[in-house]
Amino acid sequence: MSDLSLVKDHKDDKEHTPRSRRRGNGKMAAGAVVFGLFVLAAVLAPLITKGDPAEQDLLNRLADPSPAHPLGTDQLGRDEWTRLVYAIRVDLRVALLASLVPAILGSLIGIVAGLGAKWLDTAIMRVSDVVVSLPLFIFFIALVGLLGPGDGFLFLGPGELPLIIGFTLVSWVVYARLMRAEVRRVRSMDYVRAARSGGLPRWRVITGHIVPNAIGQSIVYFFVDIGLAVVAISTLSFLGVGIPVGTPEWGAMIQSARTVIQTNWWLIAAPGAAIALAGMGLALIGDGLDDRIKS
Amino acid sequence: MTAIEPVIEIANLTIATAGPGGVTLVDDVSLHVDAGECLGIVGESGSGKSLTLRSVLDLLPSSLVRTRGTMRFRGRRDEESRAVDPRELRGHGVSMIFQEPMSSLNPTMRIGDLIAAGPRARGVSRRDAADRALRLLGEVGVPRPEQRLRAWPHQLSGGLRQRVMIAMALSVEPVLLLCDEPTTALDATVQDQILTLVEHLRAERDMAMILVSHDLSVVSRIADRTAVMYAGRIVEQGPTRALIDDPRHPYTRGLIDSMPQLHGPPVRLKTIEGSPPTAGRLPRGCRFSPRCPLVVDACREADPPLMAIGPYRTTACLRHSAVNAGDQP
Repeated sequence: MSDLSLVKDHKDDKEHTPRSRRRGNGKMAAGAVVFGLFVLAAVLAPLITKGDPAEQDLLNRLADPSPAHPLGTDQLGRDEWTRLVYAIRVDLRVALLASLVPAILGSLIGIVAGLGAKWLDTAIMRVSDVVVSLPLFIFFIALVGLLGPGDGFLFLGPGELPLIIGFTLVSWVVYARLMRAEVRRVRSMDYVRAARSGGLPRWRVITGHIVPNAIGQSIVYFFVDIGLAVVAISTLSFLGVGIPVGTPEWGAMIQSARTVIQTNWWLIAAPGAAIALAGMGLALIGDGLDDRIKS
Repeated sequence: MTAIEPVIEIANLTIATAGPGGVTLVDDVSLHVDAGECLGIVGESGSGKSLTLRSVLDLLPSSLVRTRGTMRFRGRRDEESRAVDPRELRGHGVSMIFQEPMSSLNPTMRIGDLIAAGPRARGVSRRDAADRALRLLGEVGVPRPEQRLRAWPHQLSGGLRQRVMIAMALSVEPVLLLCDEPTTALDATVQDQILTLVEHLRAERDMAMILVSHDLSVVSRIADRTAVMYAGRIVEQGPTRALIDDPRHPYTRGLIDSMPQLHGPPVRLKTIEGSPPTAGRLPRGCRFSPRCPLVVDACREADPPLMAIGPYRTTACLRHSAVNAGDQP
């Protein structure tokens, strides 16, 4: 058959990595560094802080930053740096789950809507219209208030499970719509037709050929969504909903320090910066991924 | 003595848009392919040739439905043909090569896995499927197949991708290969290589084949027999050589006259006046009559059926004997 392996094709022999695979790495690397530092700090929290975010020192309240207290102390004399670092554990854990659960659930729903029967699709999309039309924060305050903080669940602290349920009820819609649109785009692609013509069973065509090509946008949004969830969780606890007061959590820390903003502004600035930085890092990862997928 | 039954026989295939008031796009098409034979289908865009081909494996877009038509298929020479559901032929006896090599390979799978997917779905072990993939890549003329097994589709050129697609189609050992404009998206030199390859593989495996193309020169090179489609119907059918030497439908004649000739003095290419009718708004009588140089009143009265006019030859033209009677009036 060597007579058929013709010369013309050899010019393409170089198995090059196209530009597209490299582009976007700048943003992604920056995001990954920021996010990685947060994760590292959360893991190493006992080593890089005083160790107990709840330890009070009432004789040493609202102290200025010093070598002993790098970010000073709050109104109860608790070390601000320790609380800031331990808050990563709370905020990222809740934000991650509050994005992951709806991502999985919503994507599955979107696949069903995109590939299933028409009445099912219509039903799912109408429900999603209703959810989208809800005023989010009011819905949240009502829901989380209704469920109460609770005592925690498995490895979750008090107030965390209601938050995750609330986020799931709301943000599955985004994933379902994204996935539905992508699945519908992909299912009419030639390679899906080729896979079907090869006699592959339906589930194999879906899992092997449709979903892998449709999931990109959902993964991108997932990273952005974690960042949004961090912001939303701290906003809610600032409003007194969700994670109970006293827990080391960025929004709650800002809330309790708001009365001393004129004298101890760093008690607000530090958790504020942490929220912004975490959100930005995750958004950068999402954006970088998006560039890579789109090119 | 019983006549050898064809590999596939499609009768009265009719395809329309779904829903009420469906527009008929393919109208009462019947065709067959004998074992080892290559049938070419030519026609303009929108003539229904690709839809006809896709319906063999029930790969029509969801907006279209097959409203009529039966299909009989024979898997092996010693088998009797039987009525089949298109879906059961997928990967079992019939496979297909698509037009667009750039979009016909799943970008998230490696070449080796793509080729092995069909055999794997039929219960071939992972190792055997991988061996088969390697062998097939070599057979379709992909250089350095061992390395290519692990390559991604985007790392290959259009010509190589089309070869990979041919390997995918062959991986399930079809007795009938469907080719939907297999070379249209390729440049001329690669097109020639792919056609040579397809001819070679078909002869080697004694596969039957249906080749759909808008390009009469591609079809005439490979096909034993050719069907010409116009506005959803077959208008003429016959052995390729005879059909080109002695067309018996003015549309076929027009297609032949509009082919550029390499030899002889340069002449202005002929064109067929007008444009094909819109589906759903067909002219009365013969669909080609508004564009036909030979049209007479009878043509406008009823759409002429396919008539046998010689051995293996049919035409749907009332004036078929006038098509080649000297130069057209």
